[in-house]
Amino acid sequence: MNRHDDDVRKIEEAFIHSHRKPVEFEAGPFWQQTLMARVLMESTAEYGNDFGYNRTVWRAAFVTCLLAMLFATYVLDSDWGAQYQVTELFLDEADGLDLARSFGIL
Amino acid sequence: MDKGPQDSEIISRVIQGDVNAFEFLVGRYRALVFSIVLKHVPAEKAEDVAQEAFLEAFKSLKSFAERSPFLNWLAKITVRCCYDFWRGQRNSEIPVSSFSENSEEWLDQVLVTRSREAFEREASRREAAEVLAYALGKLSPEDRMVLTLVHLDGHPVKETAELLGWSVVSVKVRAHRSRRKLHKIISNLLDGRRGEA
Repeated sequence: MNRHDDDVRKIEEAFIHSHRKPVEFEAGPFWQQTLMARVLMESTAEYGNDFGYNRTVWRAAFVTCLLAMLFATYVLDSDWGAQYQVTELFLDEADGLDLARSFGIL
Repeated sequence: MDKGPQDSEIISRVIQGDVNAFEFLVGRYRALVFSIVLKHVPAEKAEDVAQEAFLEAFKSLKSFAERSPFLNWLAKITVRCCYDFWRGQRNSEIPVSSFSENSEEWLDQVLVTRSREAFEREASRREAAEVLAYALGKLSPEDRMVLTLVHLDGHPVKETAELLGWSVVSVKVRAHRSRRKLHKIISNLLDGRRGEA
């Protein structure tokens, strides 16, 4: 091992000693408060808990879709023909009768 | 003496929605997190990185499996946050020209010390940390983390691999290479001093 290698190892050892020396450090007085504020914001973002708004919107959307599907199933299954309901709206007029015939309803 | 609620109890409460209970864990492990962070990032960034570590721990709390102590799990998260810090630094190199005169002279002083006492005194100076920061700044984030954990901190290779989440082989190879790089950096510094002399 030559002199140069000895010198390199000595500097390296000095680095190790410097690195392992305990560092005196004191976090600022508001560090923990700031952290907990961020934690709270993070928990709000995770659960979408803006007074439960996001959760309510998604639940309402789900219920609406379910109702729409149930209604559509009922309409398809029943004899109810929308074209007859619409025709009734026109039938008290003479023009309405012509219109109904031209669409093949009467 | 009442040591307060157990970690598992606090974690359970936090997961069930008592977010404020997380502060118990912060208070309990704050010193540990800072002790790790201060060994890896500049002191002026320590508060930010320590906060990131706790925030990451909070976000990942549901995945804490309790197979190992919470302390070990938190230490891993903290080390990885330190690694992420360096990955985010675009230019962490410190130019030699920014060395103080004392730092340049420190290199010579260390080499001429004869006693252990004198050596330790020199190694404890602020200038030692400055020159070390310069040397580490010349390494990639990966090399820096492995060199710091294995050679400077003295962690075994297997423990370092666990802390970083890398394979043992990868850490072993990188530890060897990064140490060679450090020797080269030191050698260049010494050659530079001798060239001036």
